[in-house]
Amino acid sequence: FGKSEVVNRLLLDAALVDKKKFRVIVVDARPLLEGRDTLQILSRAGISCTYVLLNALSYLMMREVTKVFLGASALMSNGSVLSRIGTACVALLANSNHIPVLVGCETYKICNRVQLESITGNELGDADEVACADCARINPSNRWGGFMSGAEDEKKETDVLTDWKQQENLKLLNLMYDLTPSDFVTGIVTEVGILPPTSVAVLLREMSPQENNESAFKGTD
Amino acid sequence: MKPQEGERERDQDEQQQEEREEEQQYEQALHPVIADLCYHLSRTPSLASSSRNEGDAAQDHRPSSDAGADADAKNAAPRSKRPGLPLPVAAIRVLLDVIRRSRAETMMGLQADLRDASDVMIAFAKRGGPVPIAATTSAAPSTKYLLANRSHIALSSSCELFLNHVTRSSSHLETATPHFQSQLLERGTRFVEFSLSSRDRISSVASPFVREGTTVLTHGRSKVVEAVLLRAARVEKKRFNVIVLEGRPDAGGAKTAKAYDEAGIPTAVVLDAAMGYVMEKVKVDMVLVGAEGVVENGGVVNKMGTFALGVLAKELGVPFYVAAESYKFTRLYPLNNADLPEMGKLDGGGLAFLDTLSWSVNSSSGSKGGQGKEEKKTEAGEDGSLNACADLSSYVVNLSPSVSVGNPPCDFTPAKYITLLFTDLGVLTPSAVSDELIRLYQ
Repeated sequence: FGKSEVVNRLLLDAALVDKKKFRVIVVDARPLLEGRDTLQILSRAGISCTYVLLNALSYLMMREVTKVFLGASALMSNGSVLSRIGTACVALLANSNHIPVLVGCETYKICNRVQLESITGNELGDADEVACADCARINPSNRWGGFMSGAEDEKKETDVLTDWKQQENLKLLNLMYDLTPSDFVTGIVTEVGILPPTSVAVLLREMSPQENNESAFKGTD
Repeated sequence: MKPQEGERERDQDEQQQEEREEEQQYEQALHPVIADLCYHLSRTPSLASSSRNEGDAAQDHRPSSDAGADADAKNAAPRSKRPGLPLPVAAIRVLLDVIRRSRAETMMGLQADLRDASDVMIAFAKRGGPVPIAATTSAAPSTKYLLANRSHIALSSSCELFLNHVTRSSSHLETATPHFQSQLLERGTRFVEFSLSSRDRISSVASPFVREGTTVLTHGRSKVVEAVLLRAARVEKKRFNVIVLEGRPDAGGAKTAKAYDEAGIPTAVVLDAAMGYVMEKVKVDMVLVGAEGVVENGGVVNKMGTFALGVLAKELGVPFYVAAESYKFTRLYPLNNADLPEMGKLDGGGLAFLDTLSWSVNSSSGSKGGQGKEEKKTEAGEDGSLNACADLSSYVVNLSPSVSVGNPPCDFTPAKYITLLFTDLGVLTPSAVSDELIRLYQ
C-alpha cells in the first residue's frame, strides 16, 4: 500500500537479486496517491504489477493476495503500527481473510509511546486536497498533473466542493496517518530479524543501555 | 587404502570423519541396543579404515558417554526401552568434543570447526538420520531412521544456540588458546547439564497444572509430556485420566499409552480423527502436547494433527499447553502452515503413508490395546475392532501410483491457539518466547 522505501527495496531485491517470480498488487489511495511512484519503480524493474485503489480491496483479499507487505512511519511499544492513512484498512481486511501481514520497519522508528487509536497526535494535511476530486495532487511533487485534464463530471464535482469554506457545517479532514492495531500484524520485519508485534517492547529494552541484562542461562554466564 | 590415506592427511576431512564417528558414538549412547553394530558400520569407505582412529576415539568417548549414562541414571527405567539422551543434547556433546580436539589457533578457527560439525549433523538429520544396520542372522540390512517422522528443528536449533553461546562467551574470555578452550569447555558442559536437567524442571513447573480428577488429552509421543504426567501421578500422587490420540502413522500415542498404563494412570486411546468428539464427550480439561520446535512468534511445530487440535481446543474453550525445552527455541518465523520449511523426506522408507492403510502399524498399537484392555478406560466399542488382529489382509488397500500420497511429519500451530508454554525457563506465554529468543541470541 502506498509508498514505502523498505518494501520497495525488499521487492526489488527479491526480484533482481534472488530472481524470484511474483506479482505485486499496488494499492493506492487519494489524495496523495503515492502508490504511483511505487508502481513506476517496481514496473521499471520488471516486476509484473497490478494497480488498484483502496475501494477494490475486498475483492483482492478474497481472491488474489497471498501476503501483504506494509511500511511504517513509526512503531509503538505495544506493537501497533503508525503508518500512512489507509494502511489499517489493508491490514484489517487481510487479517479477516487469514492473509499474513508483514510490516517492514527499521528499529530506529520504534518509539516509547503507546497509542490506542488513530486520532491522537495525528497530522493534518491540506484540506483542499480532499476537496479537489481531480486525481492530481496540487503540489510540486505531483508529476502526473499534466495528464489529468478534467472531464465534465470531475469539473462538476470540483464545483460542488470548492466553496466548502463558506459552508458553516462542513469541515474537511485530511488525516495523514492511522494506527494499525498489533493484532492485525503477523510479523514485524526489522534489521535484527522478524519479530512478533508483542516483542517490540523487548527490542526497546534491549536497545537502551542497561546494566542488568539477565540472560536466560543464569548459571552459565 | 590410498584414498583413505589421502583423506586422512587433510585436516578438515579427518575432522568430518571423526565427527561422523562421533555422531555414531553418540548414537550408541542413544540406542544401547545397536551399540556394537556401529563399530562395524561402513557408511563411507574411509570409515572402515579409520577403525584405528575409532580405537583412539573410543578411549576419548567412553568417559563422556559414561558421564552421559551417569547423568541419566535417574532415568534408568525408560532408558532400557528408549534412550534417555535426547538427540539435540547428544549433538551438543559432539560439539563439545569438537572443541576438545580442535586444532584451531584462533576463535574464528574454532567457530569454523564447530560450524562444520553442526552442518554435518544437521544435514544428517534432514535426511531423517539414517543409520544403516548391518545384516544380522535374521534381518536383512536395513536403515534405521533416527528422526523417523520427526523434524530436524530441535537439532539445528540446539546447535545454533550452542554456537551462539560459544561466540558470546568469547567476548568475555581471554583469547589465549589453551586456557580459552578449557573455559569454553566448562561453559559448554554447563550448557549440556542445563539442557539435560530441563526435562525435570519442566515437569516440576508443569505438574501443578494437572489437577486432581481432571482429564488430559495428549497427542504424539513426547518424552517431556510423559515426564510431566508421570511426575504428577507418581511424585505428586494425583489421580487423573489421560486420553491419547493414537498418533498415526507411527503409533506414537499408543506407545505413550503403554507408559501411562504402567504408571497406573487410567488411559484411553482414540483415533486421531476423534479429537473433537472426545473433547466434548468426555469433557477434557486440558490439552498437553510436546514440540519439535518452538518458533519465534510463539507458535510450535509438532506432530501432524497438533494444529487441528489447537484450533479445536480454542473453539471449545479447552486450555492448550505445550511442554518444550528451551533448546528447541528457534528463530524461524513461519507465517502459516504453508510457510513451513520442508521436513525431512524419508525417501519413501519406513513410515510411508501406505503402511497405515495396510494396518501394519496399527496392529502394534492394537496388540498393546488388547493386552491392556482390562485396565484401560475405553470408549464404547472403540477398541473392540482392534482385538481382531487376525484377519488384517482384508484391510489392505492397494493404490495405483497415480494417487499421490502425502505424509508430512509435522505441522505448525500458531501462537494464538496456545495458552501457555511449559519450559525449563519457567511457564511462558507465547509472546514471551520471542523475548527469550532475543535474549538467547543477543
